[in-house]
Amino acid sequence: MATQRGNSTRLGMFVLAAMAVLIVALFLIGRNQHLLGSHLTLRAQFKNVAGLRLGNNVRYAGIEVGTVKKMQIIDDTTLEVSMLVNKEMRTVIRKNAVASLGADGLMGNKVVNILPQKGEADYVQSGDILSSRHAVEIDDVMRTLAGTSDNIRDITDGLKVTVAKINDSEGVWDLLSDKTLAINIKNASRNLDRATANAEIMTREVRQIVTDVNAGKGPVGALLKDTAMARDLQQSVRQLEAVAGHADKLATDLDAITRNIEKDINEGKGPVNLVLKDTAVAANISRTLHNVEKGTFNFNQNMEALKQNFLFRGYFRRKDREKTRQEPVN
Amino acid sequence: MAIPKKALAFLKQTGELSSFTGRFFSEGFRPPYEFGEFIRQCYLIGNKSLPLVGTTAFIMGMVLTIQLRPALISYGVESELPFIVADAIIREIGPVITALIFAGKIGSGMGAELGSMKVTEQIDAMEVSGTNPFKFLVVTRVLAATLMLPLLVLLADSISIIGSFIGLNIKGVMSFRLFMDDIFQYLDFTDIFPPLIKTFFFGFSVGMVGCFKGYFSDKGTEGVGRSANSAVVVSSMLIFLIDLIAVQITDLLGFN
Repeated sequence: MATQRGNSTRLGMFVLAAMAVLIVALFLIGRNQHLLGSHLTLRAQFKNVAGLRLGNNVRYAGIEVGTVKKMQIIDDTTLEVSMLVNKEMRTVIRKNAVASLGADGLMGNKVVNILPQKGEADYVQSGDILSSRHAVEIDDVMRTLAGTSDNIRDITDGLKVTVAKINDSEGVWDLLSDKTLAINIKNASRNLDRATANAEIMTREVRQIVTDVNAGKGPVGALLKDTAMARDLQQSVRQLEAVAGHADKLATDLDAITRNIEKDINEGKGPVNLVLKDTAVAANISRTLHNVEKGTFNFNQNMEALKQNFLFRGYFRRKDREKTRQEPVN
Repeated sequence: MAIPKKALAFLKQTGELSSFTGRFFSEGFRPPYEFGEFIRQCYLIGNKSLPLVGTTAFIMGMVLTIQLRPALISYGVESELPFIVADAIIREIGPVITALIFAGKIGSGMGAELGSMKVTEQIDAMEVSGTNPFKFLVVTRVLAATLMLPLLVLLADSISIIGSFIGLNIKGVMSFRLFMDDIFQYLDFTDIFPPLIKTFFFGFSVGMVGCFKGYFSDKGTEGVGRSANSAVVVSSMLIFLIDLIAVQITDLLGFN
Protein backbone atom coordinates (compact mmCIF):
# COMPACT_ATOMS: atom_id res chain seq x y z
CA MET A 1 0.00 0.00 0.00
CA ALA A 2 2.99 2.24 0.56
CA THR A 3 4.01 2.04 -3.07
CA GLN A 4 0.40 2.70 -3.99
CA ARG A 5 0.52 5.94 -2.01
CA GLY A 6 3.92 6.83 -3.44
CA ASN A 7 2.60 6.28 -6.89
CA SER A 8 -0.40 8.44 -6.15
CA THR A 9 1.87 11.23 -4.99
CA ARG A 10 3.89 10.99 -8.15
CA LEU A 11 0.71 10.97 -10.20
CA GLY A 12 -0.42 14.06 -8.34
CA MET A 13 2.84 15.80 -9.16
CA PHE A 14 2.49 14.81 -12.78
CA VAL A 15 -1.06 16.13 -13.01
CA LEU A 16 -0.23 19.34 -11.16
CA ALA A 17 2.81 19.97 -13.34
CA ALA A 18 0.75 19.58 -16.51
CA MET A 19 -2.01 21.78 -15.16
CA ALA A 20 0.54 24.38 -14.11
CA VAL A 21 1.91 24.47 -17.65
CA LEU A 22 -1.58 24.99 -18.99
CA ILE A 23 -2.43 27.69 -16.49
CA VAL A 24 0.83 29.56 -17.01
CA ALA A 25 0.35 29.45 -20.78
CA LEU A 26 -3.20 30.69 -20.52
CA PHE A 27 -2.14 33.43 -18.13
CA LEU A 28 0.65 34.56 -20.45
CA ILE A 29 -1.68 34.66 -23.41
CA GLY A 30 -4.35 36.40 -21.41
CA ARG A 31 -1.92 38.98 -20.11
CA ASN A 32 -0.77 39.61 -23.64
CA GLN A 33 -4.32 40.18 -24.78
CA HIS A 34 -5.05 42.31 -21.73
CA LEU A 35 -8.05 40.22 -20.85
CA LEU A 36 -6.85 39.77 -17.30
CA GLY A 37 -6.15 42.52 -14.85
CA SER A 38 -7.76 45.92 -14.74
CA HIS A 39 -7.66 48.30 -17.63
CA LEU A 40 -9.37 51.31 -19.08
CA THR A 41 -11.23 51.64 -22.34
CA LEU A 42 -10.25 54.35 -24.78
CA ARG A 43 -12.02 55.06 -28.02
CA ALA A 44 -11.00 56.68 -31.26
CA GLN A 45 -12.89 57.32 -34.47
CA PHE A 46 -11.46 56.72 -37.91
CA LYS A 47 -12.71 56.98 -41.46
CA ASN A 48 -10.88 53.85 -42.47
CA VAL A 49 -9.18 51.33 -40.23
CA ALA A 50 -7.14 49.81 -43.07
CA GLY A 51 -7.43 46.20 -42.02
CA LEU A 52 -7.15 46.66 -38.26
CA ARG A 53 -8.31 43.54 -36.46
CA LEU A 54 -9.58 42.72 -33.02
CA GLY A 55 -6.68 41.99 -30.73
CA ASN A 56 -4.21 44.16 -32.66
CA ASN A 57 -1.78 45.95 -30.43
CA VAL A 58 -2.17 49.46 -29.09
CA ARG A 59 1.05 51.32 -28.54
CA TYR A 60 1.77 54.45 -26.60
CA ALA A 61 4.95 56.09 -27.83
CA GLY A 62 5.99 52.72 -29.22
CA ILE A 63 5.35 50.63 -26.09
CA GLU A 64 2.58 48.08 -26.13
CA VAL A 65 -0.05 49.15 -23.67
CA GLY A 66 -3.18 47.36 -24.84
CA THR A 67 -5.21 45.75 -27.56
CA VAL A 68 -8.09 46.57 -29.85
CA LYS A 69 -11.24 45.28 -28.19
CA LYS A 70 -14.06 46.32 -30.44
CA MET A 71 -14.66 47.95 -33.78
CA GLN A 72 -18.02 49.48 -34.50
CA ILE A 73 -19.43 51.16 -37.57
CA ILE A 74 -21.02 54.40 -36.38
CA ASP A 75 -22.12 55.66 -39.79
CA ASP A 76 -21.02 55.45 -43.39
CA THR A 77 -17.83 57.43 -42.81
CA THR A 78 -17.04 56.78 -39.17
CA LEU A 79 -15.66 53.72 -37.46
CA GLU A 80 -15.16 53.62 -33.75
CA VAL A 81 -12.31 51.55 -32.34
CA SER A 82 -12.43 50.64 -28.67
CA MET A 83 -9.13 49.81 -27.06
CA LEU A 84 -8.31 48.13 -23.79
CA VAL A 85 -5.36 49.92 -22.25
CA ASN A 86 -3.42 49.08 -19.09
CA LYS A 87 -4.64 50.79 -15.99
CA GLU A 88 -1.18 52.21 -15.30
CA MET A 89 -1.63 54.35 -18.40
CA ARG A 90 -4.29 56.32 -16.54
CA THR A 91 -1.56 58.57 -15.21
CA VAL A 92 0.37 58.70 -18.47
CA ILE A 93 -1.98 59.29 -21.39
CA ARG A 94 -3.53 62.72 -21.56
CA LYS A 95 -6.77 63.75 -23.16
CA ASN A 96 -5.08 65.55 -26.01
CA ALA A 97 -3.20 62.42 -27.15
CA VAL A 98 -3.79 61.48 -30.77
CA ALA A 99 -4.58 57.97 -32.02
CA SER A 100 -3.32 56.98 -35.42
CA LEU A 101 -3.11 53.76 -37.35
CA GLY A 102 0.23 52.30 -38.21
CA ALA A 103 1.77 49.06 -39.30
CA ASP A 104 4.25 46.77 -37.61
CA GLY A 105 6.75 46.92 -40.41
CA LEU A 106 5.82 47.19 -44.06
CA MET A 107 3.75 44.03 -44.26
CA GLY A 108 3.13 43.43 -40.58
CA ASN A 109 0.06 43.66 -38.41
CA LYS A 110 -1.74 46.94 -38.01
CA VAL A 111 -1.31 48.77 -34.75
CA VAL A 112 -2.99 51.74 -33.14
CA ASN A 113 -0.42 54.30 -32.07
CA ILE A 114 -1.38 56.69 -29.31
CA LEU A 115 0.91 59.68 -29.57
CA PRO A 116 1.39 62.28 -26.84
CA GLN A 117 0.97 65.89 -27.91
CA LYS A 118 2.35 69.18 -26.68
CA GLY A 119 0.33 71.28 -24.33
CA GLU A 120 -1.45 70.78 -21.05
CA ALA A 121 -4.36 68.43 -20.67
CA ASP A 122 -5.95 66.24 -18.02
CA TYR A 123 -5.26 62.54 -17.82
CA VAL A 124 -7.64 60.27 -19.71
CA GLN A 125 -10.51 58.48 -18.08
CA SER A 126 -12.13 55.27 -19.16
CA GLY A 127 -14.43 55.78 -22.13
CA ASP A 128 -12.73 58.92 -23.44
CA ILE A 129 -12.62 59.46 -27.18
CA LEU A 130 -9.18 60.40 -28.41
CA SER A 131 -8.80 62.51 -31.50
CA SER A 132 -7.49 60.55 -34.44
CA ARG A 133 -5.17 61.29 -37.23
CA HIS A 134 -5.21 59.86 -40.71
CA ALA A 135 -2.16 57.70 -41.04
CA VAL A 136 -0.02 57.25 -44.09
CA GLU A 137 -1.24 54.16 -45.85
CA ILE A 138 0.56 51.97 -48.27
CA ASP A 139 -2.01 52.95 -50.91
CA ASP A 140 -1.13 56.61 -50.53
CA VAL A 141 2.55 55.80 -50.71
CA MET A 142 1.91 53.76 -53.84
CA ARG A 143 -0.08 56.59 -55.40
CA THR A 144 2.76 59.01 -54.73
CA LEU A 145 5.22 56.50 -56.10
CA ALA A 146 3.14 56.16 -59.26
CA GLY A 147 3.39 59.92 -59.80
CA THR A 148 7.09 59.79 -59.09
CA SER A 149 7.63 56.99 -61.57
CA ASP A 150 5.72 58.97 -64.22
CA ASN A 151 8.06 61.87 -63.62
CA ILE A 152 11.05 59.56 -63.79
CA ARG A 153 9.80 58.27 -67.13
CA ASP A 154 9.55 61.82 -68.47
CA ILE A 155 13.01 62.59 -67.17
CA THR A 156 14.53 59.48 -68.70
CA ASP A 157 12.79 60.24 -72.00
CA GLY A 158 14.38 63.68 -71.97
CA LEU A 159 17.71 62.18 -70.97
CA LYS A 160 17.49 59.75 -73.85
CA VAL A 161 17.03 62.59 -76.33
CA THR A 162 19.82 64.58 -74.71
CA VAL A 163 22.22 61.64 -74.80
CA ALA A 164 21.31 60.95 -78.42
CA LYS A 165 22.04 64.58 -79.27
CA ILE A 166 25.36 64.43 -77.46
CA ASN A 167 26.20 61.21 -79.29
CA ASP A 168 25.35 62.73 -82.66
CA SER A 169 27.17 65.98 -82.02
CA GLU A 170 30.69 65.92 -83.46
CA GLY A 171 31.67 69.07 -81.66
CA VAL A 172 31.35 67.47 -78.26
CA TRP A 173 33.36 64.46 -79.34
CA ASP A 174 36.02 66.67 -80.88
CA LEU A 175 36.13 68.56 -77.64
CA LEU A 176 36.39 65.36 -75.67
CA SER A 177 39.01 63.74 -77.88
CA ASP A 178 41.11 66.90 -78.27
CA LYS A 179 44.40 66.19 -76.55
CA THR A 180 45.72 69.74 -76.80
CA LEU A 181 42.65 70.93 -74.99
CA ALA A 182 43.53 68.70 -72.12
CA ILE A 183 47.07 69.99 -72.14
CA ASN A 184 45.83 73.56 -72.30
CA ILE A 185 43.51 72.94 -69.44
CA LYS A 186 46.35 71.40 -67.54
CA ASN A 187 48.56 74.40 -68.28
CA ALA A 188 45.76 76.74 -67.39
CA SER A 189 45.24 75.03 -64.14
CA ARG A 190 48.97 75.12 -63.50
CA ASN A 191 48.96 78.86 -64.21
CA LEU A 192 45.97 79.24 -62.01
CA ASP A 193 47.85 77.37 -59.36
CA ARG A 194 50.78 79.70 -59.72
CA ALA A 195 48.48 82.70 -59.74
CA THR A 196 46.89 81.56 -56.54
CA ALA A 197 50.33 81.08 -55.06
CA ASN A 198 51.22 84.62 -56.09
CA ALA A 199 47.94 85.88 -54.77
CA GLU A 200 48.74 84.21 -51.54
CA ILE A 201 52.13 85.83 -51.37
CA MET A 202 50.53 89.12 -52.29
CA THR A 203 47.93 88.87 -49.62
CA ARG A 204 50.62 87.95 -47.17
CA GLU A 205 52.54 91.05 -48.14
CA VAL A 206 49.45 93.19 -47.99
CA ARG A 207 48.80 91.78 -44.60
CA GLN A 208 52.36 92.65 -43.63
CA ILE A 209 51.84 96.15 -44.94
CA VAL A 210 48.61 96.49 -43.06
CA THR A 211 50.34 95.22 -39.96
CA ASP A 212 53.16 97.75 -40.48
CA VAL A 213 50.70 100.53 -41.10
CA ASN A 214 48.87 99.58 -38.00
CA ALA A 215 52.15 99.57 -36.16
CA GLY A 216 52.86 103.05 -37.56
CA LYS A 217 55.87 101.99 -39.68
CA GLY A 218 56.70 103.64 -43.06
CA PRO A 219 55.29 106.84 -44.55
CA VAL A 220 51.72 105.64 -44.76
CA GLY A 221 51.96 104.38 -41.27
CA ALA A 222 53.36 107.68 -40.20
CA LEU A 223 50.61 109.41 -42.12
CA LEU A 224 47.97 107.39 -40.44
CA LYS A 225 49.47 106.87 -37.05
CA ASP A 226 51.96 109.69 -36.31
CA THR A 227 50.16 112.21 -34.17
CA ALA A 228 52.90 114.86 -34.48
CA MET A 229 52.67 114.75 -38.22
CA ALA A 230 48.94 114.99 -38.01
CA ARG A 231 49.35 118.10 -35.99
CA ASP A 232 51.76 119.52 -38.62
CA LEU A 233 49.36 118.63 -41.35
CA GLN A 234 46.61 120.32 -39.48
CA GLN A 235 48.70 123.44 -39.22
CA SER A 236 49.56 123.33 -42.91
CA VAL A 237 45.95 123.04 -43.76
CA ARG A 238 45.19 125.96 -41.54
CA GLN A 239 47.89 128.00 -43.32
CA LEU A 240 46.54 126.93 -46.65
CA GLU A 241 43.22 128.15 -45.48
CA ALA A 242 44.76 131.54 -44.65
CA VAL A 243 46.46 131.70 -48.06
CA ALA A 244 43.22 130.91 -49.70
CA GLY A 245 41.70 133.76 -47.72
CA HIS A 246 44.37 136.13 -49.06
CA ALA A 247 43.83 134.86 -52.58
CA ASP A 248 40.20 135.53 -52.18
CA LYS A 249 40.91 139.10 -51.17
CA LEU A 250 43.24 139.51 -54.13
CA ALA A 251 40.61 138.28 -56.47
CA THR A 252 38.14 140.74 -54.96
CA ASP A 253 40.60 143.59 -55.47
CA LEU A 254 41.24 142.56 -59.06
CA ASP A 255 37.58 142.42 -59.60
CA ALA A 256 37.21 145.95 -58.27
CA ILE A 257 40.02 147.18 -60.55
CA THR A 258 38.54 145.63 -63.65
CA ARG A 259 35.16 147.00 -62.70
CA ASN A 260 36.74 150.50 -62.42
CA ILE A 261 38.43 150.11 -65.79
CA GLU A 262 35.20 149.01 -67.35
CA LYS A 263 33.49 152.00 -65.81
CA ASP A 264 36.21 154.33 -67.13
CA ILE A 265 35.87 152.88 -70.58
CA ASN A 266 32.17 153.28 -70.61
CA GLU A 267 32.35 156.82 -69.21
CA GLY A 268 35.13 157.84 -71.65
CA LYS A 269 37.79 158.41 -69.06
CA GLY A 270 41.46 157.41 -68.93
CA PRO A 271 44.00 156.39 -71.62
CA VAL A 272 42.42 153.04 -72.46
CA ASN A 273 39.20 154.73 -73.35
CA LEU A 274 41.21 157.20 -75.42
CA VAL A 275 42.63 154.32 -77.44
CA LEU A 276 39.40 152.36 -77.77
CA LYS A 277 36.72 154.99 -78.05
CA ASP A 278 38.15 158.35 -79.38
CA THR A 279 37.65 158.57 -83.22
CA ALA A 280 40.05 161.52 -83.60
CA VAL A 281 42.86 159.46 -82.12
CA ALA A 282 41.95 156.64 -84.46
CA ALA A 283 42.21 158.98 -87.49
CA ASN A 284 45.60 160.12 -86.27
CA ILE A 285 46.85 156.61 -85.92
CA SER A 286 45.54 155.76 -89.34
CA ARG A 287 47.38 158.74 -90.86
CA THR A 288 50.56 157.83 -89.07
CA LEU A 289 50.35 154.28 -90.38
CA HIS A 290 49.84 155.65 -93.92
CA ASN A 291 52.93 157.75 -93.56
CA VAL A 292 54.89 154.81 -92.31
CA GLU A 293 53.71 152.78 -95.34
CA LYS A 294 54.81 155.53 -97.70
CA GLY A 295 58.16 155.81 -95.91
CA THR A 296 58.87 152.08 -96.26
CA PHE A 297 57.95 152.16 -100.03
CA ASN A 298 60.48 154.91 -100.54
CA PHE A 299 63.01 152.97 -98.51
CA ASN A 300 62.40 149.94 -100.76
CA GLN A 301 63.12 152.03 -103.87
CA ASN A 302 66.25 153.35 -102.26
CA MET A 303 67.37 149.80 -101.58
CA GLU A 304 66.74 148.71 -105.25
CA ALA A 305 68.78 151.62 -106.41
CA LEU A 306 71.48 150.61 -103.98
CA LYS A 307 71.55 147.05 -105.46
CA GLN A 308 72.18 148.53 -108.92
CA ASN A 309 74.97 150.66 -107.61
CA PHE A 310 78.45 149.37 -108.67
CA LEU A 311 79.68 149.61 -105.16
CA PHE A 312 77.24 147.10 -103.83
CA ARG A 313 76.50 145.09 -107.06
CA GLY A 314 79.33 142.58 -106.37
CA TYR A 315 77.94 141.72 -102.97
CA PHE A 316 74.43 141.03 -104.28
CA ARG A 317 75.75 138.90 -107.18
CA ARG A 318 77.80 136.75 -104.79
CA LYS A 319 74.72 136.28 -102.70
CA ASP A 320 72.73 135.05 -105.78
CA ARG A 321 75.45 132.57 -106.73
CA GLU A 322 75.50 131.04 -103.29
CA LYS A 323 71.76 130.65 -103.51
CA THR A 324 71.90 128.83 -106.94
CA ARG A 325 74.76 126.58 -105.67
CA GLN A 326 72.69 125.34 -102.83
CA GLU A 327 69.53 124.66 -104.89
CA PRO A 328 70.71 121.60 -107.08
CA VAL A 329 71.98 119.89 -103.98
CA ASN A 330 68.47 120.04 -102.57
CA MET B 1 -22.86 -8.49 -55.02
CA ALA B 2 -20.34 -10.32 -53.00
CA ILE B 3 -18.59 -8.24 -50.42
CA PRO B 4 -14.90 -9.15 -50.14
CA LYS B 5 -13.98 -11.09 -47.05
CA LYS B 6 -11.54 -8.49 -45.80
CA ALA B 7 -14.07 -5.72 -46.15
CA LEU B 8 -16.54 -7.80 -44.22
CA ALA B 9 -14.00 -8.34 -41.49
CA PHE B 10 -13.30 -4.62 -41.40
CA LEU B 11 -16.97 -3.79 -41.11
CA LYS B 12 -17.37 -6.39 -38.39
CA GLN B 13 -14.46 -4.95 -36.47
CA THR B 14 -15.84 -1.45 -36.79
CA GLY B 15 -19.22 -2.52 -35.55
CA GLU B 16 -17.74 -4.39 -32.62
CA LEU B 17 -15.54 -1.46 -31.69
CA SER B 18 -18.54 0.84 -31.83
CA SER B 19 -20.63 -1.37 -29.59
CA PHE B 20 -17.64 -1.73 -27.29
CA THR B 21 -17.46 2.05 -27.08
CA GLY B 22 -21.18 2.19 -26.42
CA ARG B 23 -20.72 -0.31 -23.64
CA PHE B 24 -18.01 1.89 -22.15
CA PHE B 25 -20.42 4.79 -21.97
CA SER B 26 -23.30 2.73 -20.65
CA GLU B 27 -21.30 0.93 -17.98
CA GLY B 28 -18.49 3.33 -17.24
CA PHE B 29 -20.52 5.97 -15.48
CA ARG B 30 -22.53 3.68 -13.32
CA PRO B 31 -21.41 2.73 -9.82
CA PRO B 32 -19.56 0.98 -8.39
CA TYR B 33 -16.46 2.90 -9.48
CA GLU B 34 -13.04 1.26 -9.49
CA PHE B 35 -11.31 4.37 -8.19
CA GLY B 36 -8.14 2.79 -6.85
CA GLU B 37 -7.51 0.94 -10.07
CA PHE B 38 -8.17 4.13 -12.02
CA ILE B 39 -5.52 6.00 -10.04
CA ARG B 40 -3.08 3.12 -10.51
CA GLN B 41 -3.71 3.13 -14.24
CA CYS B 42 -3.28 6.89 -14.35
CA TYR B 43 0.09 6.49 -12.69
CA LEU B 44 1.12 3.71 -15.05
CA ILE B 45 -0.11 5.46 -18.14
CA GLY B 46 0.78 9.02 -17.28
CA ASN B 47 3.89 9.04 -15.11
CA LYS B 48 5.51 6.04 -16.71
CA SER B 49 5.12 7.51 -20.20
CA LEU B 50 6.57 10.88 -19.29
CA PRO B 51 10.28 10.05 -19.73
CA LEU B 52 9.72 8.62 -23.19
CA VAL B 53 7.34 11.36 -24.26
CA GLY B 54 9.54 14.06 -22.75
CA THR B 55 12.66 12.83 -24.53
CA THR B 56 10.99 12.62 -27.91
CA ALA B 57 9.35 16.01 -27.42
CA PHE B 58 12.64 17.62 -26.46
CA ILE B 59 14.39 16.20 -29.50
CA MET B 60 11.47 17.14 -31.70
CA GLY B 61 11.52 20.78 -30.64
CA MET B 62 15.27 21.06 -31.00
CA VAL B 63 15.44 19.35 -34.38
CA LEU B 64 12.52 21.29 -35.75
CA THR B 65 14.14 24.57 -34.75
CA ILE B 66 17.50 23.68 -36.25
CA GLN B 67 15.87 22.46 -39.45
CA LEU B 68 13.57 25.45 -39.89
CA ARG B 69 16.20 28.04 -39.12
CA PRO B 70 17.96 28.19 -42.53
CA ALA B 71 14.66 28.53 -44.39
CA LEU B 72 13.51 31.33 -42.13
CA ILE B 73 16.86 33.07 -42.41
CA SER B 74 16.56 32.96 -46.19
CA TYR B 75 13.20 34.71 -45.86
CA GLY B 76 14.64 37.19 -43.39
CA VAL B 77 12.23 36.27 -40.59
CA GLU B 78 14.59 34.55 -38.20
CA SER B 79 13.08 36.55 -35.37
CA GLU B 80 9.78 34.74 -35.91
CA LEU B 81 11.43 31.35 -35.42
CA PRO B 82 10.36 30.88 -31.77
CA PHE B 83 6.73 31.55 -32.52
CA ILE B 84 6.66 29.44 -35.66
CA VAL B 85 8.20 26.46 -33.91
CA ALA B 86 6.07 26.88 -30.80
CA ASP B 87 2.88 27.23 -32.82
CA ALA B 88 3.71 24.15 -34.87
CA ILE B 89 4.46 22.18 -31.72
CA ILE B 90 1.39 23.32 -29.82
CA ARG B 91 -1.04 22.99 -32.68
CA GLU B 92 0.08 19.79 -34.36
CA ILE B 93 3.41 18.20 -33.66
CA GLY B 94 3.08 18.01 -29.89
CA PRO B 95 -0.35 16.36 -29.82
CA VAL B 96 0.20 14.01 -32.76
CA ILE B 97 3.72 12.85 -31.97
CA THR B 98 2.87 12.40 -28.32
CA ALA B 99 -0.30 10.49 -29.21
CA LEU B 100 1.58 8.22 -31.60
CA ILE B 101 4.21 7.41 -29.01
CA PHE B 102 1.44 6.97 -26.50
CA ALA B 103 -0.29 4.56 -28.87
CA GLY B 104 2.96 2.68 -29.34
CA LYS B 105 3.59 2.38 -25.63
CA ILE B 106 0.18 2.31 -23.96
CA GLY B 107 -2.02 0.94 -26.77
CA SER B 108 0.22 -2.04 -27.38
CA GLY B 109 0.62 -2.56 -23.64
CA MET B 110 -3.12 -2.66 -23.15
CA GLY B 111 -3.62 -5.00 -26.09
CA ALA B 112 -0.97 -7.37 -24.82
CA GLU B 113 -2.03 -7.20 -21.16
CA LEU B 114 -5.72 -7.69 -21.73
CA GLY B 115 -5.01 -10.19 -24.49
CA SER B 116 -2.92 -12.37 -22.23
CA MET B 117 -5.54 -12.07 -19.50
CA LYS B 118 -8.13 -13.15 -21.98
CA VAL B 119 -5.98 -16.04 -23.18
CA THR B 120 -5.25 -17.22 -19.66
CA GLU B 121 -8.95 -16.83 -18.88
CA GLN B 122 -8.34 -14.38 -16.05
CA ILE B 123 -11.15 -12.22 -17.40
CA ASP B 124 -13.58 -15.09 -17.15
CA ALA B 125 -12.32 -15.83 -13.66
CA MET B 126 -12.89 -12.22 -12.70
CA GLU B 127 -16.46 -12.43 -13.90
CA VAL B 128 -16.99 -15.54 -11.81
CA SER B 129 -15.52 -13.86 -8.73
CA GLY B 130 -18.10 -11.09 -8.98
CA THR B 131 -15.92 -8.27 -10.28
CA ASN B 132 -17.10 -6.66 -13.45
CA PRO B 133 -14.05 -7.12 -15.69
CA PHE B 134 -15.20 -4.46 -18.11
CA LYS B 135 -15.43 -1.87 -15.39
CA PHE B 136 -12.24 -2.96 -13.68
CA LEU B 137 -10.08 -3.41 -16.75
CA VAL B 138 -11.52 -1.39 -19.59
CA VAL B 139 -13.21 1.64 -18.07
CA THR B 140 -10.29 2.50 -15.78
CA ARG B 141 -7.75 2.16 -18.58
CA VAL B 142 -9.74 4.13 -21.13
CA LEU B 143 -10.50 6.92 -18.67
CA ALA B 144 -6.89 7.04 -17.55
CA ALA B 145 -5.68 7.20 -21.15
CA THR B 146 -8.25 9.88 -21.99
CA LEU B 147 -7.24 12.08 -19.09
CA MET B 148 -3.50 11.43 -19.09
CA LEU B 149 -2.72 12.05 -22.74
CA PRO B 150 -3.72 15.77 -22.64
CA LEU B 151 -1.52 16.26 -19.59
CA LEU B 152 1.31 14.45 -21.29
CA VAL B 153 0.85 16.67 -24.35
CA LEU B 154 0.94 19.83 -22.23
CA LEU B 155 4.19 18.72 -20.62
CA ALA B 156 5.57 17.55 -23.95
CA ASP B 157 4.76 20.94 -25.51
CA SER B 158 6.63 22.80 -22.82
CA ILE B 159 9.59 20.42 -23.01
CA SER B 160 9.58 20.82 -26.79
CA ILE B 161 9.68 24.59 -26.45
CA ILE B 162 12.64 24.31 -24.10
CA GLY B 163 14.26 22.02 -26.67
CA SER B 164 13.57 24.62 -29.30
CA PHE B 165 15.19 27.29 -27.15
CA ILE B 166 18.29 25.15 -26.76
CA GLY B 167 18.31 24.37 -30.47
CA LEU B 168 18.08 28.06 -31.23
CA ASN B 169 20.98 28.81 -28.93
CA ILE B 170 23.14 26.11 -30.46
CA LYS B 171 23.06 28.01 -33.74
CA GLY B 172 22.45 31.55 -32.64
CA VAL B 173 21.91 33.61 -29.54
CA MET B 174 18.60 34.57 -28.02
CA SER B 175 17.69 35.29 -24.44
CA PHE B 176 15.04 33.13 -22.83
CA ARG B 177 13.01 36.19 -21.99
CA LEU B 178 12.91 37.36 -25.59
CA PHE B 179 12.22 33.83 -26.75
CA MET B 180 9.17 33.51 -24.51
CA ASP B 181 8.02 37.02 -25.35
CA ASP B 182 8.23 36.19 -29.06
CA ILE B 183 6.10 33.11 -28.55
CA PHE B 184 3.45 34.65 -26.37
CA GLN B 185 3.22 37.85 -28.34
CA TYR B 186 1.35 36.04 -31.09
CA LEU B 187 0.03 32.97 -29.29
CA ASP B 188 -3.71 32.98 -28.92
CA PHE B 189 -6.24 30.94 -27.01
CA THR B 190 -7.27 29.42 -30.31
CA ASP B 191 -3.74 28.04 -30.58
CA ILE B 192 -4.09 26.23 -27.25
CA PHE B 193 -7.63 24.95 -26.90
CA PRO B 194 -8.43 23.07 -30.14
CA PRO B 195 -5.26 20.94 -29.88
CA LEU B 196 -5.90 20.35 -26.20
CA ILE B 197 -9.44 19.17 -26.89
CA LYS B 198 -8.39 16.84 -29.65
CA THR B 199 -5.84 15.16 -27.40
CA PHE B 200 -8.72 13.91 -25.23
CA PHE B 201 -10.07 12.15 -28.29
CA PHE B 202 -6.60 10.82 -29.13
CA GLY B 203 -6.25 9.38 -25.65
CA PHE B 204 -9.75 7.97 -25.67
CA SER B 205 -9.26 6.25 -29.02
CA VAL B 206 -5.89 4.80 -27.99
CA GLY B 207 -7.35 3.41 -24.77
CA MET B 208 -10.49 2.20 -26.47
CA VAL B 209 -8.72 0.42 -29.32
CA GLY B 210 -6.08 -1.07 -27.03
CA CYS B 211 -8.67 -2.48 -24.67
CA PHE B 212 -10.90 -3.65 -27.47
CA LYS B 213 -8.08 -5.52 -29.20
CA GLY B 214 -7.00 -7.10 -25.96
CA TYR B 215 -10.49 -7.86 -24.70
CA PHE B 216 -11.38 -9.74 -27.85
CA SER B 217 -7.99 -11.28 -28.41
CA ASP B 218 -7.76 -14.54 -30.29
CA LYS B 219 -6.73 -17.57 -28.39
CA GLY B 220 -3.05 -18.44 -28.13
CA THR B 221 0.19 -16.53 -27.83
CA GLU B 222 -0.06 -15.54 -31.43
CA GLY B 223 -3.40 -13.86 -30.74
CA VAL B 224 -1.87 -11.77 -27.98
CA GLY B 225 0.88 -10.55 -30.29
CA ARG B 226 -1.58 -9.79 -33.02
CA SER B 227 -3.89 -7.84 -30.74
CA ALA B 228 -0.97 -5.81 -29.41
CA ASN B 229 0.18 -5.10 -32.95
CA SER B 230 -3.21 -4.20 -34.36
CA ALA B 231 -3.97 -2.03 -31.32
CA VAL B 232 -1.01 0.18 -32.27
CA VAL B 233 -1.81 0.20 -35.98
CA VAL B 234 -5.50 0.97 -35.60
CA SER B 235 -5.08 3.58 -32.89
CA SER B 236 -2.32 5.34 -34.88
CA MET B 237 -4.62 5.37 -37.87
CA LEU B 238 -7.45 6.69 -35.73
CA ILE B 239 -5.23 9.46 -34.36
CA PHE B 240 -4.68 10.78 -37.86
CA LEU B 241 -8.34 10.44 -38.74
CA ILE B 242 -9.36 12.35 -35.64
CA ASP B 243 -6.70 14.94 -36.43
CA LEU B 244 -8.19 15.36 -39.88
CA ILE B 245 -11.68 15.77 -38.47
CA ALA B 246 -10.47 18.11 -35.74
CA VAL B 247 -8.76 20.43 -38.20
CA GLN B 248 -11.94 20.60 -40.27
CA ILE B 249 -14.01 21.46 -37.23
CA THR B 250 -11.64 24.12 -35.95
CA ASP B 251 -11.49 25.56 -39.43
CA LEU B 252 -15.28 25.64 -39.63
CA LEU B 253 -15.43 27.38 -36.27
CA GLY B 254 -12.85 29.89 -37.46
CA PHE B 255 -10.15 29.01 -34.94
CA ASN B 256 -7.36 28.46 -37.46
